[in-house]
Amino acid sequence: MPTKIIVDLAAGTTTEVELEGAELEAYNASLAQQAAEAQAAQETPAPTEGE
Amino acid sequence: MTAIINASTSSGLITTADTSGTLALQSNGTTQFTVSSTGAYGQLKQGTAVASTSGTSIDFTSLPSWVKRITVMFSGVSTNGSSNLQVQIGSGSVTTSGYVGGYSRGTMASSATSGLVVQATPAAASLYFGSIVFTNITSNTWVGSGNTITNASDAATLSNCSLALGGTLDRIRITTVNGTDTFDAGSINIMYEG
Repeated sequence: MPTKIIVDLAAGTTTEVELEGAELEAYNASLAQQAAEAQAAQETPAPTEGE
Repeated sequence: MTAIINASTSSGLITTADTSGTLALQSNGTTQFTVSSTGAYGQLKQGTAVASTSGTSIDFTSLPSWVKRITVMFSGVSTNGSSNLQVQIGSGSVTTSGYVGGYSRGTMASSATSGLVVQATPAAASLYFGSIVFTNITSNTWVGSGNTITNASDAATLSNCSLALGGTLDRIRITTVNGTDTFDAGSINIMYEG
């Protein structure tokens, strides 16, 4: 699971917690977008010499 | 009400007592330093350095309401990818859009709306060094500027931005633009003052 680090300056604590809710949704959406972009790049034919 | 210790140029030391729990140190009637239940105005505070070796973001929260300037320091910081490293600020939650500004690195330049870019197009193996500063210009509007470089002897990343928050700044986040790259080296700390 993806995590984030939270430093609470008032409490003087540092904790690492798993992403949840909207942050987890944004993380998964970004991963899906990166996968789609990588797939599109693979499917784009490289220009032949002289083009 | 505020309890006051005033160094007067005409009367010497003047003290005014009350039960507010707030103390103002004054020079000739002008408050230079205030101590209250929520913190002290006019001093520089340093956080504890955090190892940036895991997680997709690092949040510094519960910044005091009196803060007017925040410095974020990066020493040997790295992620496992090549997404731009950025700093975001927030009030109640982190603001992820609406930043006006951009960055440059060598001959490359670009606008950036999701935060203040700390390091542009980094290599996964690179380590970042430098600092960025957010300064309160008025009300809840903040101006950020950064200057960092990597250990790869390449061009520095220079960045600037402005953002008007909807309320009092209380947090600052260090993350990547794609939000999925994970920190894997170095340390990050902040200093804040008001």
